[in-house]
Amino acid sequence: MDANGSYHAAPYSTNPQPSAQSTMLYACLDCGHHNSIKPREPIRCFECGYRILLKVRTKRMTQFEAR
Amino acid sequence: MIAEVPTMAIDLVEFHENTSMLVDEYLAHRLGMIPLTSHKVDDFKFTRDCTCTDYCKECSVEFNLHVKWNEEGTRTVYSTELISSNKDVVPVLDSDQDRGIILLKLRKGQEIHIHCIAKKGVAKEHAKWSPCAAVGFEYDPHNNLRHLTYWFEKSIKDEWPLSKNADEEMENDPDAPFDFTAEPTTFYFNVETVGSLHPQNLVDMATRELQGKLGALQLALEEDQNPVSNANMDDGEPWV
Repeated sequence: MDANGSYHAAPYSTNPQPSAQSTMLYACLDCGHHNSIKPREPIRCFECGYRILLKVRTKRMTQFEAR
Repeated sequence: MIAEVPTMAIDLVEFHENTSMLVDEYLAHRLGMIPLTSHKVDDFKFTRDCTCTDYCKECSVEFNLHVKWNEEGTRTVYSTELISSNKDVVPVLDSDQDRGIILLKLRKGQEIHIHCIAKKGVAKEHAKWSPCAAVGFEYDPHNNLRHLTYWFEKSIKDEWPLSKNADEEMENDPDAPFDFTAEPTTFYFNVETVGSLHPQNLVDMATRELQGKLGALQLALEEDQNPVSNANMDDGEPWV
């Protein structure tokens, strides 16, 4: 929603996210804790040690063609 | 009627939140297929002909849907829950009791928040814009002209039931001599729509579409045959 309270968000107009946007967060499949893992680091939850992490869905609006 | 009569259909879907079990692409495709009432389609422009850069209320209609389910059980979301920005373009309904097409189902804690943009289009581009569900065509229901040779076991009459259109015509006397020069003169069309337009309107609009095409052809032919009439138009030849 923009300042006028309407949904006129221009499609694809979002600027490329600044690369400095905090490191990617991955959710643990077991406990749900959000981990930030860096390259070459073991894929492992800091909280519970579970080895399956999920990429979380973007909070940005996504647009699709309905066809 | 099938391919070139314009209607409205959802063309773009913006997902703000989708935690339902259906993926975005699947839902977007599903939303596109919803028939929208299009009797006011002539008031809209094609987005490509519109002066706006993206979309505006002259070439599109917006729909919003925001459902969050926090109770036990399953919540069914119907097409009637799409909130239209234009009361003339809404999802097609059978009756007042009809709740429309089921879009998706939500379980406890799931949420859907979307914004759809419906645009004017023709089915040549995508079948979702087709106002037409079925077109039937028939002539000579009694087979008086003998254009058909029916296969049969014992009796043609018993094995090949006549269509409804047979009531409109008389059957020729089977003993009368066969007229080889006879031509079909009456044709029967059966039109069924998806609900976006009334069948009567659809035939009218299709006829208008055809008229426009023939008009353009006639103009082009006239111009071709009387080059004098457009002598003021430079055809790019340097000596004119």
